[in-house]
Amino acid sequence: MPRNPFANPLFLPVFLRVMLLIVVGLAAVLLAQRRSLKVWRRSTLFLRARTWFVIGPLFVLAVFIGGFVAFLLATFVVVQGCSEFARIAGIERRYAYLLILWGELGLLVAALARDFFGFLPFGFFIALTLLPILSGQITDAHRQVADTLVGYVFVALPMAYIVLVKSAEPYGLEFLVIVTVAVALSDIAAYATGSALRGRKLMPRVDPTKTWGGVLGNLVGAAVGVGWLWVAVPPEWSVAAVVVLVLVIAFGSVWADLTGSFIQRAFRTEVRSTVILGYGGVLNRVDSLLMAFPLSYFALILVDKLVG
Amino acid sequence: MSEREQSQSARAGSSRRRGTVPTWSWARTPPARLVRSGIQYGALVPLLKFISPFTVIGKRNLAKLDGPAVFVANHQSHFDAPICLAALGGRVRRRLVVAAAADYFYSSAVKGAAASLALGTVPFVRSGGSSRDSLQFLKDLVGKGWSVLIFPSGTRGTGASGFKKGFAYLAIDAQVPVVPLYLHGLDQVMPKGSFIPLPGGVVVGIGPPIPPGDDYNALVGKAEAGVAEVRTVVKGWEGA
Repeated sequence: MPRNPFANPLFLPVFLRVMLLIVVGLAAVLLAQRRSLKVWRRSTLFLRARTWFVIGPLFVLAVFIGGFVAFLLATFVVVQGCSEFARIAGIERRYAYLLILWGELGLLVAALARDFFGFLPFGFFIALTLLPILSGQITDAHRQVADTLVGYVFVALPMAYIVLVKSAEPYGLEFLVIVTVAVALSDIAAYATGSALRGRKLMPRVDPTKTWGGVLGNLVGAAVGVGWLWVAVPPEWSVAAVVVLVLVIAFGSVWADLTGSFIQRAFRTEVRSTVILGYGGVLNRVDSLLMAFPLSYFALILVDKLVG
Repeated sequence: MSEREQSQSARAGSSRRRGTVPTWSWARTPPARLVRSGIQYGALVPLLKFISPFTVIGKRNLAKLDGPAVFVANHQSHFDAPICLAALGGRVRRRLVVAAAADYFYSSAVKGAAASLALGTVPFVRSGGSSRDSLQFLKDLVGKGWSVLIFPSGTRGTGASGFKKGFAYLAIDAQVPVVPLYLHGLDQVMPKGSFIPLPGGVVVGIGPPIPPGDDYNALVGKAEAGVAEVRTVVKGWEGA
């Protein structure tokens, strides 16, 4: 059920911090660019800043309201993200529809029937293999099945994890907000430091633009993100857990960058989406979160077990 | 008699002889328009924004219009008309009819009624003698202050060329401007032959109004060039 966000004492501090972050970021970009407003309004950075002003508060509101409002946001990401992946990978429409449907089913199971969550990947594999079997169309079916599975593990399953953790864990809401903001800052800082410092390429054969300077930005951004939302960090989390969280978020962001890059190159695609102004597709915006979130969650559990 | 006068006379004559095209006039009555507004604001536009989030470029060109106009666009998908309606905004949409293929959208009464009510379509006969009646009917609507959205290539899957002349007759005879639109991305969302959309982003480009002038062939050329120009803008746009 949707909740009144103001009833949660964390809502206003988090909302204000996120908005302040966007305003400070915008001011920093304006100062660094030193262009006239007329020129700046036409730039990608302006579109991105405008986009942040919409998706930042929208995200915070949706997760604090919860219920079907948060579910709608997750649905949008699954539907658009899976569609984009299908286009990038050249997945046939019937496989794409199955990917989207199972992605939606995953959100429902994560929110309402957690006992069956473990069955989701195997169930998807069964449904996926039934497509060529029942239709009798087996030409290229192995590639379609494999690519659709990658899409499921890359987009739909992590989104189901996000819903599961948010709804099942006592600190799910805080964890989601912290990781999302830290991942976003990690990406932005990587872009900024990568452009400013340049330096040696990280893996030029995979991603010719990613530098070690960018990796440093990922780490700094993740640390600043977690620190900025310290108010949301549950008191039960140990210092070791927070440090590991920062490291894993930074690692997840770098990993997502490289994976996104290798997927684009592997499929040799020029497909570009136009869903989010300045960013193109939904996947561009959420791929780091999708990869960093489950990783951070299990890292936190592991640290909790090890440290006690 | 000039080409324009001959053309007007021929179409008026044919309209008198062949009043065979149903007009579905109830769909433009105030109660039907109210229902249509409700459907479009309450369901159609939000649904489209969810399935195909669209970005509109050149909306300021609409401010240059002070009366009815003929909107022409490239045709890729059944989603074209709803996306155009959503992109053009409430001010234009309130008095806009969409010329829809009579043989497809009006093949049954239920289909025709649904399209007329939800999208404000009017039947347009694409070939044969009745197409002149259709044009005359659209011209009458423009005379009453209605704008018309038309896909002049006549079928889906074509680019910004091969426009048929019908829209030019309409614009020149009624002396209203032609506004070129370019739709980008809908061929990926729901191409010809597909009945379920695969969600994805769309860009709608709106070009500056083209004055009608008095040369039908020249106006067709100008409209094709206008749509092609908007396509260049859309494809060069940073987010596309």
